[in-house]
Amino acid sequence: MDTIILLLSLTVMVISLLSLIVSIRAIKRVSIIIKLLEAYPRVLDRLTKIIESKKKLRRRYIVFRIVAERQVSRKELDRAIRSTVKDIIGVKGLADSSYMLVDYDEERGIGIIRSNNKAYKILIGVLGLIRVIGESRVLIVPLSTHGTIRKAREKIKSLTQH
Amino acid sequence: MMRKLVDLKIRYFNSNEFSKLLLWLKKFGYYVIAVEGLKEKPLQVKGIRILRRITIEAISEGEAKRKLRGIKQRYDIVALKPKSYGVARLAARDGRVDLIPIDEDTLRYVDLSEIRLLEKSRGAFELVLSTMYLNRYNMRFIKALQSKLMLLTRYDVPLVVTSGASNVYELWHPKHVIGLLMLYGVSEYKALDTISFTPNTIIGRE
Repeated sequence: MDTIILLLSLTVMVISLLSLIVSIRAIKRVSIIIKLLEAYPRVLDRLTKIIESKKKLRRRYIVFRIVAERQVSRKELDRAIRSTVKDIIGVKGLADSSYMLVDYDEERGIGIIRSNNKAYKILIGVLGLIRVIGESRVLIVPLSTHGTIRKAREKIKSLTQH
Repeated sequence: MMRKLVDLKIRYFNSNEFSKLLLWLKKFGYYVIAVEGLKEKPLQVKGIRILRRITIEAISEGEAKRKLRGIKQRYDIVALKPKSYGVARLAARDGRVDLIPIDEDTLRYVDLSEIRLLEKSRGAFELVLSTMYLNRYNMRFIKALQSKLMLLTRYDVPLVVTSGASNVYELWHPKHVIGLLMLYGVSEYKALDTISFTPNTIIGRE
């Protein structure tokens, strides 16, 4: 009985030692790759770009709020966003961003913009360039970004409750 | 952990506008701001630390040195807008200068020798978003700015992005800043550094 326990413990020890050696080797390899990527940031940039380009196109819903001197209508807001995006990133950029004003509450100045996972950050940047609508000064504040319209509408509901 | 956001250029217009502005800055997540044109320095208002800032302009090195004399005792943040190559080099190597503003006039002074001098003084270039907004249709400026931003990111030169706002409608949300810089080819993390890490190191220097 004792010999069996001894044998078992010995085999466990050998297995653990082997796994330790394998993990150390793996860590070394990973650290070498990390060092190489740190030394060549362009390679890292290119890799991230490749990964980004392979990503599937998904919808993103941006919840925003308008701070304005007077009430802004849905038509005015839509026109202002479209023209600014066209001016800054062009018609192709507007098409690629898959922009759409989904919801907009004129009284509260809260709404939802639809875009995609590749362009929504740039779209938010362009929203920052909209400072005048009609003759009133405005500021479009991005509140949050969601993957589904249901979540975006829930966010708006929570905002109104508060 | 959320990053601590800093805006190193807010222009003081009047107390009413300023209190509204502070409220929005707090909502956006800023915790330190540097204000230009403030007569008396309030230390902390609505949970935001307030610093005093000055922007000086100089044509010659002598004029710049004269204006810089004893300035650090009166102001926390000093920005020197160069109007000649000599002043630009002085701004880059002088330890009293925290920021060198980049606009359509000073963009030409951003080059390799300026960058190397800046490494020693640990200052930073400053991109004011209000001037960027004014030049949003200026094609020459946009092209030049894009190439200079690429140069700065390639050499890991500290860059600070400030709003230059005097009222609520001129403010910039951090997400606006990141998106706009991404449009110019700057990566998301570096864009975030321009409003958090780099200005925090400048504040730590004073």
